[in-house]
Amino acid sequence: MEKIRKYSIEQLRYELEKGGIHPREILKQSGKQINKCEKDLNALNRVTIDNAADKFDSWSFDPDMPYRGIPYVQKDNICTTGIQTDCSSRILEGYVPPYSATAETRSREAGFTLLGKSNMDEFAMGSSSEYSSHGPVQNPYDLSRVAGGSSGGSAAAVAAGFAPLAFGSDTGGSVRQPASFCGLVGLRPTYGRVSRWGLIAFASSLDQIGPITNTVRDSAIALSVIEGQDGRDATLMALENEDYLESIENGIGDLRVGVLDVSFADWVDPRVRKVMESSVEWLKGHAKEVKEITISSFDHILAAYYILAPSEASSNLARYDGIRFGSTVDLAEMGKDVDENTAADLLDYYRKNRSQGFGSEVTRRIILGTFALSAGYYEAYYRRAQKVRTRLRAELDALWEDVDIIISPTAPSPPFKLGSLVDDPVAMYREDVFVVPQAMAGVPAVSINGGFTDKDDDGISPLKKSKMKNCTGRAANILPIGIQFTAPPFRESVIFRAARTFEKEHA
Amino acid sequence: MSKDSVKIEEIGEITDDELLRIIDLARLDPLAPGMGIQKAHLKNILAHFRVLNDVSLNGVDPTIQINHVPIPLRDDEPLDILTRNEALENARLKTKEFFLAPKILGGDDSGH
Repeated sequence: MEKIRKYSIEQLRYELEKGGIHPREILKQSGKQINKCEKDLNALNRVTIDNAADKFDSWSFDPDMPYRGIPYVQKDNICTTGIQTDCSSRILEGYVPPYSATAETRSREAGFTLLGKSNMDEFAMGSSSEYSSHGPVQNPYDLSRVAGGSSGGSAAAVAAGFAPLAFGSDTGGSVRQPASFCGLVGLRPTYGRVSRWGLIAFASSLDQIGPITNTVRDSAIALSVIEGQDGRDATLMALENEDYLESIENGIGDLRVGVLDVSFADWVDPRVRKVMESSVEWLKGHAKEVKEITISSFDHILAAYYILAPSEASSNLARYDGIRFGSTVDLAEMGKDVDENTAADLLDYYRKNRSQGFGSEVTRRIILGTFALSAGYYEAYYRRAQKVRTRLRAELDALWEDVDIIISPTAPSPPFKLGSLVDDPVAMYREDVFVVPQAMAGVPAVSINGGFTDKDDDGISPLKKSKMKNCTGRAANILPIGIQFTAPPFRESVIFRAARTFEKEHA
Repeated sequence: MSKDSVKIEEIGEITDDELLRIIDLARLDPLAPGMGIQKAHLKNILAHFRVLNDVSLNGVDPTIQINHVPIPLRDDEPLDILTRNEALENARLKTKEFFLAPKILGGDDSGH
């Protein structure tokens, strides 16, 4: 029974198809893991497993719903019909969507069984899953550390064995960085490959839904399930769905790999540099060509992102006024008379609802975005940031002439301590330095575990694993460190191939 | 000076009064708890943005479209939309037909 916890989606499907396992056994194991670890992790805003188990009284394998009975977790900013979806925000407290996101509908249609909605940074704004109205998510490898963000609950749930699949949203690294912090595979698809219909908007030109899984093959399976036209997202491309598994085992002998020069970022942790160096050494023995590359605007792109994303957020979040959904302040408590108010009172009502409903980071980004878009500042901030974005895209377009794929760290540090950056927004934003450029350029990227380090390691000593176990079932003294593969637009098949080849030799 | 050549450093530091104007534009309460520390954080973040003055952007157009290939246009047909009941379901204050908000500048007999 215990071994089910470590099964991939592929293995579970195989066992279900041959009759070696029943969905109830899988869900029972998931429930057991949740009971064991959830009180420590705080990964889930709500659990739906109780509703799920009843559906399998008369079960048989259905090739049209091949993943039926395999549990998954949905991030709490992805709408699920009839199930509360609050974005870990007080302003959406109690909100029950009357429709499902396309990614959710397609997951259900493929047979996946919803286990719960995952905790996250409020409205996906954060890099640690600490800015949540449900409290912070803890890292399954070390409960005193963050799980990453904003899809930290999704990553923690997969790492702890609640489910082999969770979805997250990646606006500026929110799938890849938590995957890195939890030793998992996290994919950001090309902008326009996966519908954003039903994803509660943060920054519409950046938002993409992506899977978090234990294996690269599972990531490819999950992407195949959710991608493609739905007629509801105007930015969705008309693409043929790809069979990523067809080429995933083909190796990387034909690939030219660019290694991102990270010398501009002197704050990168030596343990991350060590994992990068060993990964590059491995690539030199397997890829067609490995060469160092630089992106001149790389150190400017983070500032540009933190102008553009808040600008879009300030517009998208203008709809939350407490009238149509979410929490609402009591007029009487405001000292207002419901019968005799002025327009100024109505504005005051909006202000109170919004200030009561939004947490500190979301408030900060709304102000930042409003500032950048306001008269007198638009040219210097917003327009300049959009030019930086154009320049980055041009640089990457030129790079793709020389390399097929780029390797870089996912995060500049291993998982950091809870509370250590929460009061220093600039330091927190800096954690996104390697995951924001792909979002700004709209290109696909995957984070995969590159290795482990000792919690107290100096980055030089050999890793000695403790016999004590953590929530993931691994040694209690280790922390995962992710590396990232980035490819040109719509070349997910290439990053899957590279990540799978790496995974086979490093798992 | 053309609009494109305006630099962040030329705008100078944001004043408390200007910040209050922005907070008001954002429909937020300037007296809400924590707004004091927000001001300090915001000034620090805005100072960090000055790094953008170092990048040469002459002749670079701003990004206006993120998609890599032309976006297909869908048929100009209405999609399913929410029913009135579905739209009202999540409102705390409502009648059978409408959202309720504080009455301003007159109103009907119900007081809303």
